[in-house]
This record gives sequence, C-alpha cells and structure tokens, in this order.
Amino acid sequence: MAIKNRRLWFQVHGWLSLPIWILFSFICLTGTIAVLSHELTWLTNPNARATNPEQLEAKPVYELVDVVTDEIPDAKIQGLMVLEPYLVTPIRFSSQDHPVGLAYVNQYTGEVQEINNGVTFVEFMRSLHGWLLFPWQEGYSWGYYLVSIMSFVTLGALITGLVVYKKFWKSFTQPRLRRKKGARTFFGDYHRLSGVWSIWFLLVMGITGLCYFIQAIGWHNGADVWEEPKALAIGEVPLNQASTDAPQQISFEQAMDSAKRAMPGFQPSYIAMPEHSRGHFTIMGSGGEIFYDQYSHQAYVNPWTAEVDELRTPERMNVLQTMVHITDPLHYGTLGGVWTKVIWFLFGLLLTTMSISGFVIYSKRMVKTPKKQTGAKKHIEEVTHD
Amino acid sequence: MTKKNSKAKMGSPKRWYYCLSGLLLVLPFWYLYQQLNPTFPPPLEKKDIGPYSVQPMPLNELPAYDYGDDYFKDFSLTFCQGCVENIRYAYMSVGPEPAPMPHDADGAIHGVGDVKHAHAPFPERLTDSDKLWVTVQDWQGKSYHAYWELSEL
Repeated sequence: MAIKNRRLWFQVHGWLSLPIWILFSFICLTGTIAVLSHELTWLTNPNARATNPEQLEAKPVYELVDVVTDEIPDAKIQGLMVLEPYLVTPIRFSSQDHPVGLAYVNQYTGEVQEINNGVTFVEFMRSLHGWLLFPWQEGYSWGYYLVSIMSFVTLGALITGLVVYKKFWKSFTQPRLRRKKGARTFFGDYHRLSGVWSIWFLLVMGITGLCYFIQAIGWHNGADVWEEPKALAIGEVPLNQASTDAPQQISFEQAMDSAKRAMPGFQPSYIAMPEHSRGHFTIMGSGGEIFYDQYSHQAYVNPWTAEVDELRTPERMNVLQTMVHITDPLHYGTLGGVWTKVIWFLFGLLLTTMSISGFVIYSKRMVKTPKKQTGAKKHIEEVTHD
Repeated sequence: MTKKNSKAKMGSPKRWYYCLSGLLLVLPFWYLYQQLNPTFPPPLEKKDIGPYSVQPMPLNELPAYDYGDDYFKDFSLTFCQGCVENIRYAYMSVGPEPAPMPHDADGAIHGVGDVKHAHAPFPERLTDSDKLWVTVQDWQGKSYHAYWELSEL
C-alpha cells in the first residue's frame, strides 16, 4: 500500500515538473543572474562603480540632484534610487537631449559618471525573470502569472519529492554522489542530494513566489495592498495672481528634512518628485529592519507646505502590506547584503540544474527500463536510500 | 499492467513532448523586439486651449480598459513649448461637457518631462454626445477646455 501511494506521489512529481522543465530552468537561471545583476553591472561597467579613494562621506541626495541640473541645465528630475554603497546613485531625468535619461552620479565625489537612456542590465534581467518580457496590460501580464504559478510547481515538487525520497534526511548525514556507476545513478544522486540541501531555498522561493502570485491577482483586479496616496485638493495648491509663473514649491532638501523628521533614522532608497501640482514627493527608505524591504518606510510630502500628508511604516502595516514588504528581501537574497546574494546565487544555480537533472533521469529511465518493470516502480526502489 | 507496460514503451516519443515548453522561450525574444520597436496610433489633432495648445496621442487603439470598478484609456500629451510651467493643473475627462475639477487625481495630466501622460476615466457606456476633454487651469485659477470627438480615436 505504501509503495503504491509512493508511486502515485512520484508520478505527481513528474507530472508537475517534466512538462515545464525547460521553462522552469530558464526562470531559475534568469532569476539567479538577476540576484547578482547589480554586482555584474559593477564588474562590467566602471561608470557604475562608486569609487571612493578619499574615503569621503556620501553626499545627501538633494546635492546629487543639483549635480545633474548643474551639468544639464534643462534636466527635469523624475527621481532617484540609492543602491549599495559600492554602486553609483542613478538619477532619472528628462531633458531636450535626453527625453528618458538616467545619470549615474558618484555619491562620494559628486561626479556624473555616465548618462544613458535608462535601459539597464538590472532592469532587463528583472523583467526577463519576472515576466519573461511579456507585455503589461493594465494591471496584469500573462508572463507574470506564468512565472508566479511556478511557485506551485516548486512547492509541489518539493513536497512530492520528499515523500518519494524515503529517509531523505540521510542526504544530510550520509551524502552520496556515486560517480562510477553510470550517468543514471550519478544524476539520480545529484538530483536528490541537491534537492534535499535546497529544501530551505525551495521553500523560500515557493512561498515568496506564491506571494507574488497573490499580489498579481490583486493588481489584476485593481486592488493593490496600498491605496494610492490621496491627491491634494485643488484648494491646497496656491494661486499666483501676480504673474503667470508657478508659485514656489518647497525644495527637495526641505522635503527630505520633513521625511527624516517623520521617520528618524531611515535611509533613503527610492525617491520620486511630484508628478503634478496635486501630487507629493514620494520618499521611501529602509528603517534597518532585517526582514523588511528598503521601501518599508514611506513619507508622502506635500510640495507646498512640507507636511508629511501620509506616512507608512512597518508598525502601521496590515497582514497583506507586511507580506508585500518582506517578500522581496527573501526572494532576492538582499537581506544580508552581498553575501546572502552570493548564497542565493549559488542555490539558484543548483535549482536551475535540478530540473535539468530531473529530465535527464527521466530520459535515461525511459531508455533503459526493462520491459517487465515500469519506470516508476523501479525508480521508487532506487530512491529509498537504504 | 499491460497498459502501464505500453506506456513505458511509449516513453521515448514523450521526451520531446516534454521539451515543448522550451518553445515558449521564443516569446521573450519576440516581445523584446516589440518593446524595442514600439508602435503608436497617430496623434489626435493639435488644438488650442486658451493661450496654450495641446496634442494628445492614444497609447493604443484598444477600447478603454476595466481597472477595478472604473474604465480608463491612456494618453500621452504634448503641450506647446514652455506652456507647462504656466499650468496649475490639467486633466482629461469624457462626457458631453468637461468634468468639473475632480476630487481625486482621476485623469490628472502628469509627468516630469515635456511629454505628459494621463489615464483618462471613461464611462462604462459611451453615448453619441460624449467627447474627450482636456481641461487646463492656469495659476490665476482660470480654466480652459478643448475637446475631440471620440470617433477620432
């Protein structure tokens, strides 16, 4: 009875994984590269490196914005991101010569090191992994669904794999990788060994992937976990009877000061300037919590009064909002800096090869199975690790 | 048992069957090509709107899309050079008359550069008298309107 059940679990393991093994492997590989996309950019593009030979303090973000407008006087700043300390600060802007421009500013020396059109390797890898470059309709992309439903495959393959692989914990206590008994034995051992050592990683990817799937359904239905910040009433926007010019808005520096007062100790990570006169400065950052992402502290600053009209911090979040803000560091491996990214990268590679080794095992089994014994039954006997 | 045996024998042809998902990987390349070479419908007629002028361009030829409980259609808008600085607020709307100043940011003409964007709110059912409106208000609080027939979209 037990064997019969295990055979069914084994078959489910195959049905889940085999039909999509190439796609799954591609998604794993692109995600693996995406984990280190910033570091790969650092390696390949010297302009993306925030070199700091004189060990200077990083300049505040409002000074970096001035660097861009000094260099390109007609530049209108859209926003910026603050990345790891070894990477430049990319500042998005628009000007006559650069309708969509991205300036790489060294935050220590205050120099513009590169101006490009905003299409970066980081964005490309993220889009290729996250939605396979499928177009976004309003609020949804079939590619994003396709990738996020792979979380069911990940979790399903993990659970069924563990049920089939009796005494799987022996892979920890007595790891076995037989190299001299033929390819089939080798790939079988490799598949089981890498699978068991990746249990934690499969769980993390499966569960965070499921969170992305839930979020995608929300977007599709016009329901994000955060409401758009409420626009200012037109009456809050001052008039100017004296001339046709716009009244003076607060400076970016004042907006940052307001955000810092509302969120003491926060480190900015993403900033967007108001997009119209009734919009806010969007100022996001991290409060240093290990499990929350770098956007979990947000202040929406009124550009006319410098007041923080809306504040979002971890302690004010509901369950879904918390889920959204803890998913990325776990999925991207950013929670412990570059070293956790390297661990995520290595396990990503392992996961990429798991669906390949799974298919190799299946192929070899199909070729060599004796006529009187089904592949499933024979394989079940092989994987019990006794 | 006989059935299972025959399944096992049929194994080999199934191997390529399991590789079919690889064909999906053609799509990212196709979409990459499309995204690098985007096409847009022709812009609508450039119209004066008080002392300014504006030219909207629908981002696609599809009807308004359903988002949440409301319908929207996306546009980019090009204003006359230097005019944007003189505009306090601008928005798009659809109806027989221009919509009054919205309480929320629905239809707000937004963006930091010279080319602006808007998600124009559409009614669920259009009537013959509905038009596409752009309303701009200057810093003295005076509003101006321009409209386009929906048949031009």
